[in-house]
Amino acid sequence: MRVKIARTIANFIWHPRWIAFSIILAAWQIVAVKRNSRVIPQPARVWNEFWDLLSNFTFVDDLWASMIRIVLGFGVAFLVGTSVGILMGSRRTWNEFLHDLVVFGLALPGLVYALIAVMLFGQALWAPVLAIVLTSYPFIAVNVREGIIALDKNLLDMAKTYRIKKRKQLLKIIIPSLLPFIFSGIRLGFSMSWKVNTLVEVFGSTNGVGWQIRASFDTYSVHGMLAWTLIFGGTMLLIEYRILTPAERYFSRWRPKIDGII
Amino acid sequence: MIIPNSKPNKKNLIRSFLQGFFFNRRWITFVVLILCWHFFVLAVDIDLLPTPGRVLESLREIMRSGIFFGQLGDSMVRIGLGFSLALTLGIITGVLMGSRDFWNKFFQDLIVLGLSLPGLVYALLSVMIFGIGLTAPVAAITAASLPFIAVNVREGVRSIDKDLLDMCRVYKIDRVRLIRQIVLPTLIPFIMAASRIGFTVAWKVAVLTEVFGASTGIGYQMRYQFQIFSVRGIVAWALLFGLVMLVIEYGALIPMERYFNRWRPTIEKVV
Amino acid sequence: MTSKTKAQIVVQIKNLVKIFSDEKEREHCVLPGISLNVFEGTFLTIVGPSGSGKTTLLNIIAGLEEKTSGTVKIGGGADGSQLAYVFQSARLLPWLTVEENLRFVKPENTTEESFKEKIHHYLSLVELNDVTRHYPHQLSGGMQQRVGIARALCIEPAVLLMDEPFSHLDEITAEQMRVELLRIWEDTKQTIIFITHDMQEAVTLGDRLIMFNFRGEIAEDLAVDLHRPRKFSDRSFIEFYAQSVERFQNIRKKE
Ligand SMILES: Nc1ncnc2c1ncn2[C@@H]1O[C@H](COP(=O)(O)OP(=O)(O)OP(=O)(O)O)[C@@H](O)[C@H]1O
Ligand SMILES: [Mg+2]
Repeated sequence: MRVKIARTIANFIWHPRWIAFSIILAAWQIVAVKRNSRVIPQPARVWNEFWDLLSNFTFVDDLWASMIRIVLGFGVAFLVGTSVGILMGSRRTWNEFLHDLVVFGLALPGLVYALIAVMLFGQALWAPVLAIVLTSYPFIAVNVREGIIALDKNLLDMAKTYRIKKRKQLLKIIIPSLLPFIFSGIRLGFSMSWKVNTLVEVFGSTNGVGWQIRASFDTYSVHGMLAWTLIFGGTMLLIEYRILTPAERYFSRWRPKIDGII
Repeated sequence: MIIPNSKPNKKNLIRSFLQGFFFNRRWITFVVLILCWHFFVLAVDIDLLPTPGRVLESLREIMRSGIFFGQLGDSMVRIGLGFSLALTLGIITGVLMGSRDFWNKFFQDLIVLGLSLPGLVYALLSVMIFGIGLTAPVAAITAASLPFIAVNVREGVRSIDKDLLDMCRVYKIDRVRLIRQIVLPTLIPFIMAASRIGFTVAWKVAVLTEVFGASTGIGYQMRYQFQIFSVRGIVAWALLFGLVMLVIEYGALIPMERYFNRWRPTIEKVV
Repeated sequence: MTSKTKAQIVVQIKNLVKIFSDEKEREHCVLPGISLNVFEGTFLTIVGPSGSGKTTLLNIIAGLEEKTSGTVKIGGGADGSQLAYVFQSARLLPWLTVEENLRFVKPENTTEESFKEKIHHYLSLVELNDVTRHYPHQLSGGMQQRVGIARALCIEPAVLLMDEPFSHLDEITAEQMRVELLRIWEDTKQTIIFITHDMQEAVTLGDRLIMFNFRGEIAEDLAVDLHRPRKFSDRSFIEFYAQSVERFQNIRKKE
């Protein structure tokens, strides 16, 4: 047991990632010192900025403002995406009708949605919601559709021969087999959501993380931007990797392997 | 499904493509969508929202003024440079990561970080650091799309069939033949997939960089339209650019992928 | 068997030991030290319980696996002796056609011309002349396995190793393949080491039958003195078969 713990610690310490990090930090430090320009801050400066933001809790207001937008927008996107996905998965005509629209939606960059949403709604809450819905519903829809198409018809037939009630079929067969797909849609859609929300805030908002990033950009403060990126990105990655990915893995545990490396 | 040993007749291919293109339910969908858009705009009556007709007008203006190809060219040069750089570095990183555990661990965290940083951050940072010029977009594009390429190539290296490698050892196949006949055929589909994802990322970041720090290019035009509050202008530029990307996708990337995948039983439908 | 000239030893194994050790450094002895000589032209079949080390033995002979100790000599002892291996699955390159798959294993000292002739010779031997330009996915499982066999034969190896080559196939195809393999063997008088789970297959094919026990030792080494072609309806065949099955069961009981 003790040997095991010791080995785990040793593995952690002797991990090549530290070499990578040190090389990058060293290079950054050297460049910052050599160039000595205002725009390339030393790593320590960024760290101080980050620590200031964190310890004074100044970040809470903006993070909160952004979170509300993201959650609201993503909620709507989820509803829209699931409905569209179910329609596409179960009705051929709808699938053909919506397919191109969804592909188009997947292809257009979030920037376009963000700009249009800001022009239409200005600073209103509608702007981020619209932009988020438009960018992330296709991801959810495509995944839900795949899930419905992949439903095992043999299982449903089996259920029929055993006269399983519709409700039980839904709860025990359909939903469990859809969940992995839904969750991979949620994970992808969520990561689109917070990115496009940041964009909307950059172009039309007076609070939120995006606005802070914009302010850093306008004042040429690389360290400010990095600090905000660290805080916000950290939070979002925490949600993605500590909540959404485990959830997805949990609901897909019966599948041989999670496919796709998008 | 493609049957490789029935030689594809070029004429037939073109004909079937044209048939599929013109006699297609898609066009019905398309018309319905345009009509929906038109009547929706008339119904809500917001000044800013353009009808399809007005967008078309903008399109015509852009094409008539003749600036489109110049602006597109500027963007494409940036994308081309950044993307080629990302592809080269990404393949090297991916091969290293796929074949040596040390390099995998070395790069892994950086790659995860790179995958999840939004394009906006790359764009803004490189504009601040490199200012206006060619370096900023190229750096942003390279940094943003490299991780996607590396991850895909790594998967490719890992999926090289160990059984086939064993078989080669038994039959004493030399290294050159091994690489040409086993390693490359396995890797190429992954590199193609990597290129497609990487290319999408590349042009999105390129446009973003142009929004914040360029005086030419598609992104700059969009920003200009944003400043003069012209939704139809943005939509028109987005449409044009999207069209070019579609042409590249269908005209170059997909045929290439199909060529390299010709030995496969079925070609996966491109979503 | 024809033994006018004294038969040469093609595979010579002495005190071969193979120990696997896992990540936790626990040792697992698979082959505890076996010795075995295989004479030229012999059709040797090996049966044994699952996990007894049959595949490991072939892999060591083929050089795919390092041995822990002991010696393995192939051919006259020269290291360059060609080996061929027919695996449980065909292991064809899916992106090459049948013919290209065979051309792929061309030994360096052979000319294109002569090798091409061999390819065609052996492809016709396995009756695949019509599909030389097909890709593997266009062939049935049995045809793919036949390509694998043709590939093995066309380098004219000193020894042909076969690891349950027909176990993926349905019984009818497998039976056809056995008949064909015997026909080819009678043509070429190739030395073959053939692993199987199936006692009937082992008795039908082999001149010599070796049984492994759970510990990876050679428990039985029998000469199969039955005239060919062997039929399951022959009395002598049935007797030998029943005897072998009984011996095999005894081996298992002793564990
Ligand atoms: N690379 C390896 N590492 C560790 N143990 C191994 C390895 N390869 C095989 N073994 C072990 O060696 C033993 C023999 O394996 P082998 O594949 O030779 O069996 P086999 O007789 O061919 O069985 P089967 O008839 O099922 O094919 C098994 O217990 C297996 O777990
Ligand atoms: Mg085996």
